[in-house]
Amino acid sequence: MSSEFVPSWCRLLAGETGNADDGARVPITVDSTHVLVPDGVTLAAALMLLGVQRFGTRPVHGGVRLPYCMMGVCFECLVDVDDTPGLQACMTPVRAGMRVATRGVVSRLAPVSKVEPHGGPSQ
Amino acid sequence: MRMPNDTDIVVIGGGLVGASLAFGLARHRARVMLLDADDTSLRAAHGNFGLVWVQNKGYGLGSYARWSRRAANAWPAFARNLIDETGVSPQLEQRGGFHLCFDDQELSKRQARLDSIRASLGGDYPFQMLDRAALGAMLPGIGPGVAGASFTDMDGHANPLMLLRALYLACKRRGVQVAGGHRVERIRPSSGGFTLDTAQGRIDTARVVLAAGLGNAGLAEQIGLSAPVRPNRGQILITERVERFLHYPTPYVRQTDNGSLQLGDSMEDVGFDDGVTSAMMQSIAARAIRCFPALRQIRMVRAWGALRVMSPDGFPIYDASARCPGAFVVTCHSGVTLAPLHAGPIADWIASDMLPDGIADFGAQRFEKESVVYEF
Repeated sequence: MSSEFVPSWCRLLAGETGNADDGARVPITVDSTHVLVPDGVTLAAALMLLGVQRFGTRPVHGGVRLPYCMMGVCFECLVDVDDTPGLQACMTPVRAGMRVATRGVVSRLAPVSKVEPHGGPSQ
Repeated sequence: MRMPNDTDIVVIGGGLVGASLAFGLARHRARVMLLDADDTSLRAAHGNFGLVWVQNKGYGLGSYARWSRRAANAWPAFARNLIDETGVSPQLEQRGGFHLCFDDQELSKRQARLDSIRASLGGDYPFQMLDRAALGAMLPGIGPGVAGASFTDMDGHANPLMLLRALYLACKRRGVQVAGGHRVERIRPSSGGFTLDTAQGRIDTARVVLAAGLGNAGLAEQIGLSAPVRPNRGQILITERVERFLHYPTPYVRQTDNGSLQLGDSMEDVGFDDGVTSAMMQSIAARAIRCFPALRQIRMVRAWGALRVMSPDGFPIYDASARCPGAFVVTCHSGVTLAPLHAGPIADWIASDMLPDGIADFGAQRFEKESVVYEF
């Protein structure tokens, strides 16, 4: 997937430009774009600070997914990190150099999901 | 005749069995109260797998096979009725179901079992045994370790939580008084019926129905009934949501309408421990991957344990108290499959005392005889 970056969620919610924080920053890539995010925060927080508009997409019913609980329960913030699919971004600390991919409709099961339902074998 | 009581009928137990009964009883112009205990309750209705399942049920007791089949046949109208009354869909899908077998010996055992059930039903029991090639055409992604399957078009699945929600809404719309926090501590026969001592005070009722799952064992003996039910644990794993690829349920793996895979079908005799163990979760996950190897690539997101409510022979217990007329017990481990019959003929029986066809074999007196074999 490719990500659309807009002004940070925090700033949008606060209705102001926000305070620049002077803390340390680490480089990560999000859908192949190089970005700097605050060190010591969760990946979900970092992506929201960046203004990422879509963490994932519901495979069956469609619709954008974004973090909901931020405490490891709702599983709405799944993203792929390096070679690991479906990590909970809210439970994953940012780490310099991590490659993050947001998730589209198509999962790694796509190759086996082409057959439509029909009646029983006798029908 | 209306008794001078708080209510006409109290259903003890707000799970799928109790809610189905209350939903059906509310049709009889009775004042119905549905009592639920609290969040420490074991609540099989919150943890079950969601199959509407016929195949393999009733080995050794044809009347149970017939009863399960009748329930499956009643499901489409039952689901439509719930949707019409509440706008909530129990998400029934009933295109048939597969039981997967991993080698030829298991396949032939399976066939022998289903043949025996078919014979006990006089031949009226449609199923087919499928070899690997026929199975592969219907279930994309089936693993090379699967030798074949049995298939019946009687089977299906539903969303058990949405079913419970629809039943609760329908109960409320039909005027059932639903009361949580009312764990029933004691039941005493009284002049007008029964007096229940609950965690929140006393309730008088003309009739009482035990639908409290594993809690039935202790309540039944207070009113001349018997419900020797015991827990049997199943662990269930849930994966992240993926595209729909599995359009039929199997007892090991099913895919919900939002794309999650639900993996399960463990059976453990561990008392009242409803936890999970890493060894069993590994075993369930490994079997699911054997069924559908592509599952190896997706993530598990949660797991839980839940306790089945098992009678000594695995069949339901439907009984009326001889010593305390107006007391009934309804208990089974198939609250989803049998819901339409609990809302229909079983509720009618409790309201009218007219024993419905098909349940004569399910009284608890059968346990007074010696050894019976566990049946799932």
